[in-house]
Amino acid sequence: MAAHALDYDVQLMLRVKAGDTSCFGVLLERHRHPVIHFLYRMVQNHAVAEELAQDVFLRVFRSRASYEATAKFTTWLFRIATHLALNWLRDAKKDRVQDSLDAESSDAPALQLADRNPNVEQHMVSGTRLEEIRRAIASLPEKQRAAVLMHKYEEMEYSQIAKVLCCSESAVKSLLFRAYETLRARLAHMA
Amino acid sequence: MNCPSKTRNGRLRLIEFATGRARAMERMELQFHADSCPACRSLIDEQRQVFAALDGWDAVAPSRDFNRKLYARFELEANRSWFRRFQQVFEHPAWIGRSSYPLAIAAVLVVGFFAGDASRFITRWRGIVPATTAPAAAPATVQDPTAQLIQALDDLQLLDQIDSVKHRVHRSRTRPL
Ligand SMILES: [Zn+2]
Repeated sequence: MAAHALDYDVQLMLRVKAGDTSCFGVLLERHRHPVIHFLYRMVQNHAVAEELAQDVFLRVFRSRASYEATAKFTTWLFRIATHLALNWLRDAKKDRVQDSLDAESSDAPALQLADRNPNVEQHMVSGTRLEEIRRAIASLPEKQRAAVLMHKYEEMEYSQIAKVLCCSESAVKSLLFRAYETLRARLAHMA
Repeated sequence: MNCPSKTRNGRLRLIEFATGRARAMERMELQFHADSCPACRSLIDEQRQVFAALDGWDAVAPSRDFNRKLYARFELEANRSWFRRFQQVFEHPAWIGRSSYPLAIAAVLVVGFFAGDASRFITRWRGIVPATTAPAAAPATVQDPTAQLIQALDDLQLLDQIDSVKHRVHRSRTRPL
């Protein structure tokens, strides 16, 4: 995100803190989509993703009085989103939603290893392939998944991902390294 | 240049290269190396395939009523905090049961109304509600006393509903299994 855009988010949040709650609506419009998309890819359930996204924005609004512009607004926002997603995923391990996802995985047809068409994008319309991608992401340990989603879709730097996940840059590199090794192994056959 | 595919950091550099976000100098250096290194070229190709696959995974659009639901939760939360404050006021006198809140509030309202200054009284009473319940909403306008009284009665009804829900929850928690 460009520096001026960062400043704009922080300025908006500081105005929310000062009592100008209309600025919260602007922040919501600017960040609603990325937050929902991130949560959707984390939990892979649209209704849950929206519920969690609402929790994220509720928490942001609740915390307005104590907000300090010490970091990028998006770092703070995604820290809350990641925290909620990881908590939900932990709780859902015993849950029926997760069970049904697991059942889908075990009932799914075998991977089409023989398909060696090099133009992957042409085939992305295929539900089976999307399902494979979805399952490949779901197979990643939760922190690796969060790191990959922020790196790939939010185009975050290692340093920002480290701040979101409250770990070192070295730990982020390790998470991304292992995650992409797994994804290449699982998705390389699609090429 | 040592082959980057042999180390973890080197492989991460190749991954960054495959994203297209590597810095210009780094990009040139890696491209120059990969042109003559099958291992690095293979890793870059595979990584690009992974990114292309991930690009094909579109997240669904937010539902149309996302904002409405969110603001409804703001409203509910604000009402809850307002209710909690009222609850604290009435918690100390032991002779007032929880189910008496609406009656007690109604009594206070009636007294205030018949004191001849209903409008100011209700406005002051409603002033307890935080002003930040709906962030994008237009500023509140001054209503006539009748409308305010209707609003106050609606709020009383809400209190009553919250009270009955709390009782139901309490009953269900204390019910033997
Ligand atoms: Zn090499």
